[in-house]
Amino acid sequence: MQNILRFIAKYSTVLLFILLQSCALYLLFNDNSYQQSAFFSSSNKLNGMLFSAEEAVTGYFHLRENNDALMKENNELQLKISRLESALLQYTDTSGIALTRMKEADEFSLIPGQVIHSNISRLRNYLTLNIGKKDGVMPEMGVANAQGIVGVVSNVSDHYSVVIPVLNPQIVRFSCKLKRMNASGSLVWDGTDRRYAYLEEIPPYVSVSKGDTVVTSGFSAIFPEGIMVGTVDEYEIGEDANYLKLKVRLSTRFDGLSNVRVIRYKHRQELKQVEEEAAQ
Amino acid sequence: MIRFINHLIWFVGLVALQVFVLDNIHFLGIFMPLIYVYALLRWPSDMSPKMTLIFGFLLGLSVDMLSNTPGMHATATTLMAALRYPVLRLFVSKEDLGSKDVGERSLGMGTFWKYAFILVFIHHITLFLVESFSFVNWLLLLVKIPSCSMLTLLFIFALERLNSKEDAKS
Repeated sequence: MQNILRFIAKYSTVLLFILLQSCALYLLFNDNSYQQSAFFSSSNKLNGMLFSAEEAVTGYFHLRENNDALMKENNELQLKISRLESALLQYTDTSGIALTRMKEADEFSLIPGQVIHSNISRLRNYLTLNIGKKDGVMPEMGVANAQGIVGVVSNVSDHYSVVIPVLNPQIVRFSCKLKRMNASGSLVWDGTDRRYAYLEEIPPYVSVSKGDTVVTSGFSAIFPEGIMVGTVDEYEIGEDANYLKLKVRLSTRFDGLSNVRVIRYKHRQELKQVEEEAAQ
Repeated sequence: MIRFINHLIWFVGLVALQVFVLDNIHFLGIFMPLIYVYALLRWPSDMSPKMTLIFGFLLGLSVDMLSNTPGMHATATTLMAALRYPVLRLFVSKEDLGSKDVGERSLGMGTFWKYAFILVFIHHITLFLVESFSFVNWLLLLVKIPSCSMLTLLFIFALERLNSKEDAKS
């Protein structure tokens, strides 16, 4: 017994080093993509408060660009309204079709929010939003802005939430498709350039051309179909020639991201439940 | 005691500077300075090794907490804290270390920069290896480690200038 005590006393510094280092490594390798400990996510209260204060200052830096983006979004929405109104006129009398479409319209609803902190210079990036459970945000909801998709919610507290953006390799793959050909694949980021991501698993027989539009596929409950992702910049045949790999220029600009919308799918629980049942 | 509080203020100040200001600066998208290691570099040499280890661990942990990277910075700073004394002893004899603060003025210009260079390099290598553990892009790492180290050292150089001027005054 005494020997053990003497041993501990003699090597206490080394033991302390090993203890601290294993704590750090434990934290490092224990981060499940969705179940990060509440202690660390920046949705915890102290960080939320600090970052809100930071946003109070830095929020002014991008006002001009944000205004432009909002203006553009407004214009697009105005256009859409007029187009829809004219379409609606055609259907007013033969009501059947118009009514069924109207029913589907509120399947997805939007929760507006603001990015109060963003890390986009790293390999594994995160965004913090100023909306949380109280506003109806739940984990695994999609996030987009006027330009295109942003990411998916990972952690939520009462007033804040953390988003894993497209710029985070290996954690999330977004199901996307080519708008023109209707061929779908998954979108990943390779960790280098913030302007580009790669669309993989596109079948090789699809004829792709530069400038084709990539949108979300709507195969999951995260995003509805048809949200803008980007345009094809280059394409090459994958390593084993079984699929195409497309370089996609992302339409969302991640520097100075501010106004975003969280997308809530009304029947998410139901869809998840059915999928889980099917998987068993 | 006053010296201890002084070091704590540096700790808080540098972590805040890192997370709120420097994390928003990235040259060409991937290069960023990691200035918070300066708090560990100038930690007094006569503190017990255990205190140094705990200080290093807490430094990394606070940066981790504020930037959503559980364990990443803590791993690098703990290793750095453990290697600090051996590296210091490479250049300075035990008697010369005494109870002085570690800095350009007390160690001499050349010695301090050799010491800072080695430790910053060790820290950056560990950090970037750990960051890209299962996602290795060797070319990117080869560019990132030296360039970020240089950038960090540049910032430390600027801070050290301010610091030694202040010391000279008091």
